[in-house]
Amino acid sequence: MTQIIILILIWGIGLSVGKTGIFHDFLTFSDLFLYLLLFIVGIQLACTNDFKKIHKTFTIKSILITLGLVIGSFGIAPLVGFVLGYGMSKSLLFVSGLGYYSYAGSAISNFASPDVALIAFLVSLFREQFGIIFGRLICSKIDPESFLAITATSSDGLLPFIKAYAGQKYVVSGLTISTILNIMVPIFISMLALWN
Amino acid sequence: MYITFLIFGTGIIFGYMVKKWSLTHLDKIEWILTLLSYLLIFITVLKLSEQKIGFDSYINWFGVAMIFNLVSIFSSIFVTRLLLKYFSK
Repeated sequence: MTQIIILILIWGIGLSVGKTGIFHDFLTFSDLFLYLLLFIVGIQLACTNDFKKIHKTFTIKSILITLGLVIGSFGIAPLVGFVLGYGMSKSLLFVSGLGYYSYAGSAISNFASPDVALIAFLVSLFREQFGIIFGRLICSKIDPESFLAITATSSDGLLPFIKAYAGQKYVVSGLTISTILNIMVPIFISMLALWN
Repeated sequence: MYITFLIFGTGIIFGYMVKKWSLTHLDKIEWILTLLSYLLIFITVLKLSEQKIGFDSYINWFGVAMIFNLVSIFSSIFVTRLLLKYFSK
């Protein structure tokens, strides 16, 4: 709830301050902040994972869930885009954040139009919020693996929810999937940037 | 693309050294990360606010994002269940 309030506040302040043009020069530093984010995510990944032992957590199940998440999202996006009247590259960009909303919106805004960046940001944000709101229902009615397949941000935002809804034994899988996807999302977005 | 890899890789190597030498406390990194995430969202909103966009466009984009989100979530669940059914022991 606190997170949603902070995000609404950021939106409100950003939209009203942006109209004044005071922070126009500040936007030239957006690349710098993005690289700083990647650098710190890299540090965090290295600090929270023992890379010498990480291969032990790469179980077949974790890899299949990660593959299912990626194939499921990217596979259906062009079809939805076709129905809604968006091109293939735009449709793939919309879902490319895979729940990593802080990175996706800003990274995409560097090479695509702001509306594409906004939709990509919202898709990722909604994905995480969907996981938080319907996680318990998905775990009980479908299965915990499906809950893990919803989002890539399980290492920070959703970890407590994985523990609460799916159980302690799924925390390691959640961390493994989020580690793989934290590395893959910048690669996906960079590849789509080259395509654009 | 190469800069992304380079910076990300440098971050991982730096993090590994930090861990090896026990130079930092993880809570501090997470705090900076959260702050930076909010800052990047703020920048995205600032970029958006520079465009002349009407309220109806925002409503339209919210709808598009919701459709993409719901379809991709259920598609992910479907494909994951399918993969687990056929390839997991």
